Amino acid sequence: MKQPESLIAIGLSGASRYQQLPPPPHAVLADVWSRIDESNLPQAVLHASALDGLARRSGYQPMTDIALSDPAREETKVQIQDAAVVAAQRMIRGEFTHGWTEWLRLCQRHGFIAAPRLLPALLDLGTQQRNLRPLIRAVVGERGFWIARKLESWSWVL
Amino acid sequence: MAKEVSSFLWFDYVLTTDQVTAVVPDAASFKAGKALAVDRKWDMLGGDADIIWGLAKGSGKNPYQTQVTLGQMAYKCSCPSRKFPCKHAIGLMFLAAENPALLTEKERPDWVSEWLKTREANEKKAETRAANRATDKPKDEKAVAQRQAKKTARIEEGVRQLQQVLLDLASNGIGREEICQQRYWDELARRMVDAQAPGLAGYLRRLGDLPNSQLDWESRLLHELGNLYLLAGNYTRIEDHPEPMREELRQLVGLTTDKDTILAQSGVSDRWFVAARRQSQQDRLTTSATWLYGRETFRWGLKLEFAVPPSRPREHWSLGATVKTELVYYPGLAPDRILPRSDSVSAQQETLPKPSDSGLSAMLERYAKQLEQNPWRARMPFLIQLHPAIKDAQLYLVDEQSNGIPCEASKDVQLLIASLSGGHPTLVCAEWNGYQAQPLAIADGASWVSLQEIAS
Repeated sequence: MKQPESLIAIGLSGASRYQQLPPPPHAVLADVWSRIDESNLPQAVLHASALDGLARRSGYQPMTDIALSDPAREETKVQIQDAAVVAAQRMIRGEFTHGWTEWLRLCQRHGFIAAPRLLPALLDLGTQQRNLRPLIRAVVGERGFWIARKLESWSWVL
Repeated sequence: MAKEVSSFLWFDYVLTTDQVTAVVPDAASFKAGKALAVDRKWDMLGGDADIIWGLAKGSGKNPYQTQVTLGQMAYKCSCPSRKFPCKHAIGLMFLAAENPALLTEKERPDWVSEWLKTREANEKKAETRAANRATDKPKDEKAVAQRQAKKTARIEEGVRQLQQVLLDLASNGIGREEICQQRYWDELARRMVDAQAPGLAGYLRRLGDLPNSQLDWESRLLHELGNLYLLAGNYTRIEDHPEPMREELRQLVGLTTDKDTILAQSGVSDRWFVAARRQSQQDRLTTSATWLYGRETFRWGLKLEFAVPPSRPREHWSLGATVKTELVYYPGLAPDRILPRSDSVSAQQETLPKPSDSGLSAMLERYAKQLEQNPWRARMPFLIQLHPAIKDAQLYLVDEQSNGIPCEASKDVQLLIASLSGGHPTLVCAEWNGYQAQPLAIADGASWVSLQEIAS
């Protein structure tokens, strides 16, 4: 009797090429696997697939070997107010984009730094508009320098 | 919220520009509304926790009386425009969202109190009508029964067709070119729509997204086909099952449950945190899905709103806000979909809630328990303090115990998550589907930020 080596093998090439199910993919499924009726093999493949999927999803084991990067340094400056975040978000959406210079200048002059949620957009802005770079560099804070290390096109900040 | 405006009592209620934009009917109204969102176009601007109002200076002698309730975002304006909401209502809402300090009046004018009174009376009448409807017998029982029988027969026929399609797929294998084409799944979905089983149609259409989406997609597709076969098989024996299972099967196939019947059940009262929202479009229908998280009961509820474009689903509970209300769960197996008892409650700003699980292990265990009760549960939300970390160009979310799960996120979303965390553990709301997490929203200091807007 021709037995497939795995569920994915019989699933890919079809039950019509085989005469029985593959061995159970895991010991926990051994008992229930042996009770699947193989007389209708396509149906047996579907039942086995449902079991395999449920077992995998409910028995998921998290990874334990993921290294964390060093966190960004503590900020020394104060973050901008919500109203300034809203104004920046409107410019990010494409409204009043000529206001960027003024927004950045005000932010710098009062010693504020941008809210973290604005950082990718601000760094992208500086990547496109060279003349804004000094102002942007002044307002991205420690977090901005930290995130800029993660993307080649933002390396102008460093 | 910024300190200098929170002294306005009613400002506890959150009206955002996004919310306003969502109810604008067309581009012309947007432009006209924006132009009206300035101080000098108005007199008597005011508001409280329930309603905002103002007199719009028009070209005529009498100004228009414009008012918008904050709970349901219901509008009324004395102008003759047939657009709904009219430009004055839109202007007033934009003004309230962008410049709340301008709404200085606190005393409701008579025309505002009167309208609110009328609304209240109408709501009571509607409730009474609904209660009567629920007890009334349908007019022509025979015709209703006939229609029902016809529909049931069509669905059963569709489910049998689906079983055969799945058996053929298992027999011939999924390693064929046509399986990778969205067209193949769309065609199957169309057949299920014809069979009046839109739930099965949606299931099949989603399977069309799987091919080539990730390394082990073939194995995932097999799991899904098996699950769908399990669903079809159980549906053909629906009468053998206990009631919650029958309800679950009916909903999965796509039969709708009457809202009044659901609201007749008792619900769960809590302060619900509006944790995540996502909009999707399919078949000329926009769906807005909102996850609500109970701060006291630690339960989750999924609120679905639908609209046919150009109108958009109405959402008056903004992301990150908290709503004190009662949610009624749909019947089913480990149900998560809800209907709010009342739509008119307004949302308040509170601090961010505590995590829903002590860590990823607890979350995975909770997911396994849900699958045990409901094998068709696709995804489950969670809210946990997590570190984002990148390994081999794949984003992972890692908890305090150093457990990590893979994350499905575009490059832009990955960078935004990293910016917001700065490498520190950060409160994240995501959905887990047994294979990977999809991040939906994240904390930025005390604010709560959607990750969906930039994802789309």
